[in-house]
Amino acid sequence: MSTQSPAEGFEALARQYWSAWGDAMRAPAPGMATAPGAAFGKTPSWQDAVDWWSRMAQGGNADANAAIERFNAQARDWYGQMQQVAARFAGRDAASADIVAAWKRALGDLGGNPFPDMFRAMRGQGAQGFEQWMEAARPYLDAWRKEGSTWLGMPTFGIGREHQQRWQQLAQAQMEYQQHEAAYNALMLQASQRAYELFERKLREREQPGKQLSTARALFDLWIDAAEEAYAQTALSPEFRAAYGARVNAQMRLRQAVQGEVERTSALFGMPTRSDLDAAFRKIADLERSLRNLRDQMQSSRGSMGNAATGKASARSEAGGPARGAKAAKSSPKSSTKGAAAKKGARP
Amino acid sequence: MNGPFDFNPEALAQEALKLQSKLGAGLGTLRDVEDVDYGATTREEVWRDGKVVLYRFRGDTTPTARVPLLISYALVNRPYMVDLQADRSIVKGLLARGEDVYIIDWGYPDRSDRYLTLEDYIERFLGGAIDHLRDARQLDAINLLGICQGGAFALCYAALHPGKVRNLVTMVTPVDFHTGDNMLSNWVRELDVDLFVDTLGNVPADLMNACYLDLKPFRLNLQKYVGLVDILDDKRAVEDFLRMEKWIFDSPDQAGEAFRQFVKQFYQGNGFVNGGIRIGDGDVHLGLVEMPVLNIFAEQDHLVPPASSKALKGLIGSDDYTELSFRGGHIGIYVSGRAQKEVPQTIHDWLAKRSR
Repeated sequence: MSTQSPAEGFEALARQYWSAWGDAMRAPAPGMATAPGAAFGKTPSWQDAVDWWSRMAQGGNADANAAIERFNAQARDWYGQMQQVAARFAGRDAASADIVAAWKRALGDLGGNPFPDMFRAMRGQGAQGFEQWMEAARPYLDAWRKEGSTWLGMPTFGIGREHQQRWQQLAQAQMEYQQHEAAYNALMLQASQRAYELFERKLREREQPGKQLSTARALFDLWIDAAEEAYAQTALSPEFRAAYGARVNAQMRLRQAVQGEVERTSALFGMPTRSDLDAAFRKIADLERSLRNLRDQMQSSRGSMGNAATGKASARSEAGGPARGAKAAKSSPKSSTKGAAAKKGARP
Repeated sequence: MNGPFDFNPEALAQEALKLQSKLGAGLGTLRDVEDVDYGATTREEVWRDGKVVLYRFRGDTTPTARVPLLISYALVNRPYMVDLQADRSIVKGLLARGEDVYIIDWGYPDRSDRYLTLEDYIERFLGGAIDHLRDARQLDAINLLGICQGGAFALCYAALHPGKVRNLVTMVTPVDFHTGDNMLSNWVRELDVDLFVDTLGNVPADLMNACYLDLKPFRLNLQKYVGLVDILDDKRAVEDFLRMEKWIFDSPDQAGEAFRQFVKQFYQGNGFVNGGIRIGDGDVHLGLVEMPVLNIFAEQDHLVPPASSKALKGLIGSDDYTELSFRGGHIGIYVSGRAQKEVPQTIHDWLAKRSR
C-alpha cells in the first residue's frame, strides 16, 4: 500500500507529466528533425493530471466541489488540447493555417461536432439543457420504440387501436425531434467552421512582431474570442431562431407524449397524476384570488364608509389609492397634467 | 520567429510549471476555503405575502432619506445579488449614503405556485409591498429601483400606479425586446410558449441557467474555469469566486403562468414598444410614467443589450429622464469594484436632488 499522501501523489504525477513534457519539447522525437511534442503519447496526459488533481482537490465544501467538477468538465479537454497544439509549434516558424489545422484535428479527436459536444459536456449541477432530458429519457424512449417497432408502421385497428395510434404518435414525435436536433446541430457545425476561419484571421493579425502570442494561454484566449464571435453570429441569425424554436417545440411535443403515457399508466394503478395535481393547484389559486378580491372589496367599502362619515377624502386615494383599491386606480389611469403621455404617443 | 507565436519550448515549459504550481497550491486552498455565505447586511422582515417577503436593510447608521427605496429584482435571481459580500454590495453603498433600503424577496416558487400570474407578481406582491411601505411611512409614494426583469415589473407598476412611485430607477432593464443584438429574444421568438409551459409547468431553474450560459458559452463555461487556476493560491479570491458561482447557480424555478405571460407580452409581443401589455385588468402605457426616471444600463451587457434599455427614453412620459452608461456587463454592474464606486453614489445623488 502506498504511503504517499494525495498531495504528494499529485505532485509526483504532475512532476512526471511536466518533466516528460519538457523533455519532449526539448528533444526532437526519433526520426523527426523538428517535431516537439510528438512524444506526448508516452507520458501521462494533461487530462490524467487534471483528473487526478480534481479528485484530490475535492473536500468537504460543496461549493468548492461543484466548481472543481465544472473545472474538470470544461478545462481538462479544451485547454489540454490547446496546450499540446502550442507545444507542437513552439520555437518554430509556424503558419497560422497550420496552427488552425492542428487545432481542428485536436478538436476532431474530442468529437465530430465540437460545439454541441461541448454544450453536452458542460452541463452539471445547476445547469441542465434540453439535451440532458433527452439523455435521461433515452432508455425509456428506446424501450418504447423497441416494444412497438414491429407494428409502429402498421394501420391501426381493433381494440388496441387507440393505444397503437398514440404510440405511433410518440414514435413520430421522437423522429421529429431528432430531425430538428439534426438541423440545429448543422447550424452549430457551421458556427464551428466559421470559428476556425476567424481563429485563423485573428492568428494572422498576430503575425507581426510585437503582436505575437507569448503563451499557450494567450492562444487559448484567442480561440475563445473566435469561437464566441462565430457562435454569436449564428445564434443571432433568423435561421438559428427558427431552428432553436423548432427544436424546443419538438422536444416539448415529445415530452407531452411521454407524460401522457406515464399518466395513463399511473391512472391504471390509481395513482394521482400531474394533471390531478395541476387541477388542484389551479382551484386553490382561483380560490385564493376570489378570497383576496372579496377582502379588498370589503376593505375598500369600509374605507369609503369611513371617509363619508368624516367627510374627508384621503389624500392618498387621490394619489392612486392603496393596493386594496388597485382595481379602481387601474381602470382609470391618472390623467396627465403635463400632457406628456400624449406627447410620447401613449395609448390610453 | 515568423508566425503568430513568440514562445519557445522553454517558455512553454515554464508556463506549464507555473500552472502546476497554481494547481498544487489549489489543493490546499480548496480544502481551506470557508463556507461562502452571502448577504452581507443585516435585514429584517417587515411584510410577507405567501412566499414573498419584504425586507428592510439595516445599516450602521440611521437613514437620512425620508422616502424609502424599494428594490425589485428579476424572478430568476435571489436578493443577495445586490448584497453579495461586504465589498460587493450595492445595498451597503446605498445605506452608507443615508438611503433607507428595502428589497422584495420573490422566494422559490414550487409546483403549487404554477398559476401565479404577472398580475400576482406586479399588483399583489410588488404592489402589496409598496402599499405596506406607504402605509407604514405615511407617504403617498415611495422610490422604486427595478433591476432587469424587476425593472420591467417596476415600469409596469409605475405606469399603472404613477401616483405611488415618487422616483423610478431602472437598472439593466429590458424595454425594447426586439433589438438586433438580443440573443435571448432571438431564441424565444419562435418558441411555442403555450406548449412549453403546458409541458413543463414551472420552468426549471437549471434549464434557465443553461440558457443563460449558452449566451456566452465559451467564456462562461471554459475560459472562466481556466481562469480559476490563476487565483488558486489566493484563498480570498477563491472564496469570492465560489460565492459568485453559488449566486449564479442558485436560481428559483419560474412560475409557469407568469413565465408564459412574460415571454408572450414582452419577448414576443415587445409590448413596451408595440403596446398590448396587460397586467390583470390594466393596460400598461409607458407614456403614463411621468415621475423622474434614472435609467442605468451596462455597456457590455450580453443579457440586456444597452439599446434595449435606452429605448426607455423615447417611450416614457417623464420630462425628467437621466441615463447612466456603466462600463461593464450585466453581472459587473452589481458586483464589480467600479459598480461599488459609481452605482450607489449616482443613485443617491440623483435621488437627493429630487427629495427637496
